Amino acid sequence: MVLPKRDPRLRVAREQLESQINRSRLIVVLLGSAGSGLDERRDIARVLNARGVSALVPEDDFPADVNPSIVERAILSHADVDLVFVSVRSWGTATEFGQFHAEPTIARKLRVLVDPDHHPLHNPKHGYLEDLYLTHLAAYGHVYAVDSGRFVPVPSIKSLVTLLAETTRQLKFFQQDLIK
Amino acid sequence: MKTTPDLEDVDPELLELLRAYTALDNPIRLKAYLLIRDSGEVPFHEITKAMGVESGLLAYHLGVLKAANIIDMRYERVGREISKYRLSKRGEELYSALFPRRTKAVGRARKTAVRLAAQ
Repeated sequence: MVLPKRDPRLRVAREQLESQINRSRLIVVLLGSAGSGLDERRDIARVLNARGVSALVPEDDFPADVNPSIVERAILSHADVDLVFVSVRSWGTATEFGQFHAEPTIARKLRVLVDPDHHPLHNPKHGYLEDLYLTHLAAYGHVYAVDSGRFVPVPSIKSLVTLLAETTRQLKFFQQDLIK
Repeated sequence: MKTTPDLEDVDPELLELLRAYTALDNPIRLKAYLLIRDSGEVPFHEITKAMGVESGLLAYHLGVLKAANIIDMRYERVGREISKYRLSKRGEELYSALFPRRTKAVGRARKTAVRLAAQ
């Protein structure tokens, strides 16, 4: 079946509406863990939807007929999604982060939310995942420490600049494709 | 921390319309929307077959339509669980507003089909 072209009337109507309200369209996908993590994502989606942002929670909006990993692969390659938020609280979500991080097209759209205990700028602990966060931070930015009001140590300007400069230098040498 | 600016100045109806236009201003989603409209209610695998789009990608696009409240999804157990789609009330309203000529043409075709069947 041949797909129709974009309907120009819809594009014009959307653009007129965007001009009227001074806001652009936006599609975001909210990834994260199940249980209370799912309740939290549903709550965030409600807030974003009320603001005119198309917010998708995979467990609610994607059909169960297709495995989540297949949908995610499709999002990686073709979809017109603007932002993908991933709240890393389990090994499953850490894997999702790793998958998205490895694909430069989607990695730019990724917003990574992590516990301060695992954020490379707020905790000197250094495991594989923390190292991957640091790589992502140096290449794309957008790795955020999130918690409910806990105060965490923040780096000095000197240590932050040195850490990011040194990490970027390593990336330039070993993984140039990430920082193009 | 900086707080998110509020949207009190914007009519919520316009924000909902923006989500609808966001969803429909894409060829795959528009085709799926029209296909679901013409089918009444249709299972996911039939939409995949009819559109020839990779199932993961189609799942994403249907998700965007669903998040915009344009289509409804329900599960039916036929050996395994399958998802079925139909237009929501909001989706029907949008169809009449966006495709008035098509609405009339489909209406005429349905009346003709009923008349021919009765003969």
